[in-house]
Amino acid sequence: MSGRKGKKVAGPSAPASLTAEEQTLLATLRSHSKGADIDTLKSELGDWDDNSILTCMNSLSQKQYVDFISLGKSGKLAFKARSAEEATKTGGMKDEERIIYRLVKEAKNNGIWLKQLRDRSGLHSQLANTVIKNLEKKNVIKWVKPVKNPYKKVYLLFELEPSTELTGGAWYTDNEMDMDFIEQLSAQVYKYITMKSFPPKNKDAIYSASYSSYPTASAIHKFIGKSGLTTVPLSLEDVQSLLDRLYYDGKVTRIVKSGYAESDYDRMDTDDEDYRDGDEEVRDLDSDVWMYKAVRGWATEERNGWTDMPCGRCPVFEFCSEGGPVNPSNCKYFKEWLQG
Amino acid sequence: MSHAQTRICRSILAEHFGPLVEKVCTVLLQRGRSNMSVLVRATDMPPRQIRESLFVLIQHNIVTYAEVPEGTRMVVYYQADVRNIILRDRFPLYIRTVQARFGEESERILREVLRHGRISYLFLSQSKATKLSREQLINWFVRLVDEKVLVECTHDDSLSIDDKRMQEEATEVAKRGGLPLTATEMTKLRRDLAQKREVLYDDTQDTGTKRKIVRDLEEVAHTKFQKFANDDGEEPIDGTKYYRTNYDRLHVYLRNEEVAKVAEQRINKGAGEVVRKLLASCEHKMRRCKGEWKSDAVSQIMLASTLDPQIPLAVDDSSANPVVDYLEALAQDDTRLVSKESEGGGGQYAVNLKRAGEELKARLMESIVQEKFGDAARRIWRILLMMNKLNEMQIAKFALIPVKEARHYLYAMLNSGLAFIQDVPKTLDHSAARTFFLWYVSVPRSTTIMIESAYRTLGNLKQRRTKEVAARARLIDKMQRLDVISGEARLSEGELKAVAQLNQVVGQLICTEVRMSQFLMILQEF
Repeated sequence: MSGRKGKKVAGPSAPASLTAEEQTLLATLRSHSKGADIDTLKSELGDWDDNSILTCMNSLSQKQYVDFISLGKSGKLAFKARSAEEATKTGGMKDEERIIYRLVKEAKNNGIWLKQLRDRSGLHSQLANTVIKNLEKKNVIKWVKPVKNPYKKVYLLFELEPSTELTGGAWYTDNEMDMDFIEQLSAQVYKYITMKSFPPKNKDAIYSASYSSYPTASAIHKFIGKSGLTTVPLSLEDVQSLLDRLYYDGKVTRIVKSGYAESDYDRMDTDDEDYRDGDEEVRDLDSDVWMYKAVRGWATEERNGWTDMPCGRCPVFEFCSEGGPVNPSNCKYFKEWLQG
Repeated sequence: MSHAQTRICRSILAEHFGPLVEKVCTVLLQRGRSNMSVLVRATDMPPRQIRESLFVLIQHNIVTYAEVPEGTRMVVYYQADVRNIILRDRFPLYIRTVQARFGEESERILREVLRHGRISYLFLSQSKATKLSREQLINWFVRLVDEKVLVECTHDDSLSIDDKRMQEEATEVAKRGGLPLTATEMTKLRRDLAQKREVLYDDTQDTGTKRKIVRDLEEVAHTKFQKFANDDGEEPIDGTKYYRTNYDRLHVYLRNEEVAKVAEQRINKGAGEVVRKLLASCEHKMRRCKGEWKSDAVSQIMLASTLDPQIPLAVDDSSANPVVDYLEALAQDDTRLVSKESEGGGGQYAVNLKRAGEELKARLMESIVQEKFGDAARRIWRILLMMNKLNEMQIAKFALIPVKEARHYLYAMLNSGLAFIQDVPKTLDHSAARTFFLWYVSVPRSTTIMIESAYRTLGNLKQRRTKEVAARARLIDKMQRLDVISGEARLSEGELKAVAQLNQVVGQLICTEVRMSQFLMILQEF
C-alpha cells in the first residue's frame, strides 16, 4: 500500500525534471490510456521488480504525473498517467486545490454545482470558497449558469465547452431560447420540404404511394449545412427537433421510408465521404426511418365560426349574461364587429 | 337542461311561432312532462290557446304526448323535445345540402315540408307553393322519400318516447310476474329493449310512397278520399299519408360532405371525390351519424367506375392506377380517414366514420386554440392529442418553447376547457409537492364544454339581433306602410342609409348564426 502512503505524503512540490527510470515508467503508463495495474507493468518492463516500480511510481505521483485509480469491478489498484499539460498545471497546486480540481474534472462538461462541490470536497466551506476563487483567478476552472436553473453556479474546467444540457443547445442564446431563430429556421425548412413534396410539373398532383424521395432528417440536415442559413452549427438532433416541431404544428407529416434497411446498405458502399459521415450519426439516431412531407390544408381559416365573431375571443364571455351588467345588447365588441 | 339551452330554445320559438307558443313550450321545457292543468296554472293562459299552441308544436314535431290512465280517468301528458327545437336553426343548412344533392325542385319541396312540419302529398299538390308541375312534384317527392329525406309520420311519432319506454318496461315487468325488478335486472331489461328498438328501426316505417291496399271502411266512405280511391292506379303517391323531414338523414349527408371536404383540403379535389364516392356507396344504409363505425369496404375497381370523370386524379408520371394511388395517399394521411380493409378485388377500402367524426371535432377545436391563443398553443394542443398525458417539461421540450411560455398557454387552455390536468400523487396524503401534474386533452370532454359555449353564443347573437331590429322598429314600421311600398311616399336619404346599415348588420348576425349552428351540429351530431 505504498501507493496510498505516497499520495498522503505528497506535499507541495515544484515540477521537477524526471529521472531516466521515471521517464521510462511514465512512457509505459502513457501507452495504456485506461490505466494499468502492477502486473501489466511488470510484464512490459521485463527487468523491473515490484519495489523499483513502486518507488518510481511514488516519486511520479509526488510530481503529479500519475493518478491512482481502481480498475474494474475488483477495485484492483492501478495507475494512470496524466497528460503533460495537466501535470504541469496541477503540479503547482496545493492539496486543497487539487481536491477541488479533481472534483471539477470528474464532472466533465456537465459541470458540478457549487454546493455539491463544497460538500464533496470535505473542506471547510470558507476554505473551499477561497480555493475555488483562487482556481477561478488562475483560469483553471470557470462557472456557467445552466439554462434550466439559472440561479445555480455550475463549475467546469476552464478549457471545456459546457454540455448542451447546460447551455440548452443550439436554440439558446445567452441562456434564453431564441424564438426568432427557431421560427425563421423552421420556416425555411418548411419551404424546403414543401418544394420536395409535390411533383414539380403539376403542383396539384400527388406522388404515387410508393414514392420514397421525400426528404429525410439527414437530407434536411445537409440542406441546412449547405444553405448557410445559420452560422450556429446544428447537430442532427437539433434538426430532428425542428422537424418534430413542424410535425406537431401539423405543417408536415411523416411517412415511414419504405426499404429503409436496403437504402442504408447501398449507401455504405458509396465512396462519398459526406454520406459516410452522415451515416454514422444517422445510425445512432435512427432518424432516417421517417421521410417528411408537407401537408395541405393545415391552415385553420374558415374552420369554425365561433372565433370569427366577438364571443369566441371575448375575455368576459363567462361573465356575460342575458340581463347582467355585461350583456350582448350593449356589448362593445359586438358594436365594433358589426360596424367594421 | 341548462339555462343557455332554454334561452336559445325560447328565442327560436318566439321567432318561429310567436310569444304564445313560446310561453307554453317554455313551461314544458322547464317543468318537463306536464299535463293540461299544470300548463294552465303555469302559463295563466286560457286552455283554448294552450291547446292551439300545443297543436302547433305537435305539428312541428316539437311536442309529443302520452295518454296515461290515472285511476278512472285518462290524463294526457305533454313533453317537449329540445333537440327538435335547436335544430330548427339549421334549416338553411338542410335546404342547402338538399339543393346541392337533388336540385332546385327538391329544395322547394323540402322548404314546404319544413315550413309545415308535417305535410301530406295531397296538401302539397294543392297548395301550389312549390310552383312545380305535377310530374315534377311526383318525381322529386318520390325521390326524396326513396332517399329517406322525407319519412312518413307514424302514430308513434307523436307519442312521447319516455312514456313509450315506461310502457314497454311495464309490459315486460308484467310479463315476468309483475313483481318489481332489481336494479341489475332493470338495466338488463332496458338494454334489451334498446337493442330491440334498434332492430325494429326500419320496420316502423313504410317503404315507398304507394298507397297500401288495405283500407278500412271509414276511410273509403270519407268523401275527401273518394277521389283517390277511384283513380288509385294513376296516382303513385298516397295523398293521405303525412310526411316529415328526417333530420338524421340530412345530418348524414352533411357529415359525409364535411368528411369529403377534409380530404379535399388535405390532398386535393380528386381525393375529395374519392372519399365522397366511397361514402356514397353505402350512404343508403346510414341511418344516423353516430350509428356506424365504418363505411362498407369498397374495392378500388368498383370505386373507379363511380368516380366523376370531370375531376382529374393527377399523379406524377401518370400512374397505371391513379385510384389506388389516391386511396393509398388517403390511408397514409395523418387524419386516417380511409383504411385498407382487405386485399381482395385489388384492395378494398373503407372510411372510418367514428374516426372521421372525431377528426372533424378535433379540427374544430384545433382552430379555436389557434385563433384564441396562437401557433404555439396549437402546437401544444396537438402534442397532447397525439401523446396523451405529459408534464409541462416534456411539453415544452417537444414544442421547442420555454417552459414558462408553455405553462402560460396550458393554463389559458385549461380555463377555456380545451386542456385538462390529471394529478398523480406519489404519496397517500395527496400533497401537491409530491404529485405529478399531467396535462391532457380530451375531445369528448371539450365537446361538452364547447357545446355549452355554442349555446351561449347563439343566445347572444339572437339577443343582439332582436335588439338591433327593435332599435329600428319605427323605421321598419314605416317601410311596411302601404304608401311607402307602393312608392307614393319615399324614405329620406338618412332613412335609406339606416335601412342599408340595418340590412348589413342583420345579415351579418344571421350569417354568423348559421355558422354557429353548423359549429354546434358538428359537435353534437357527428
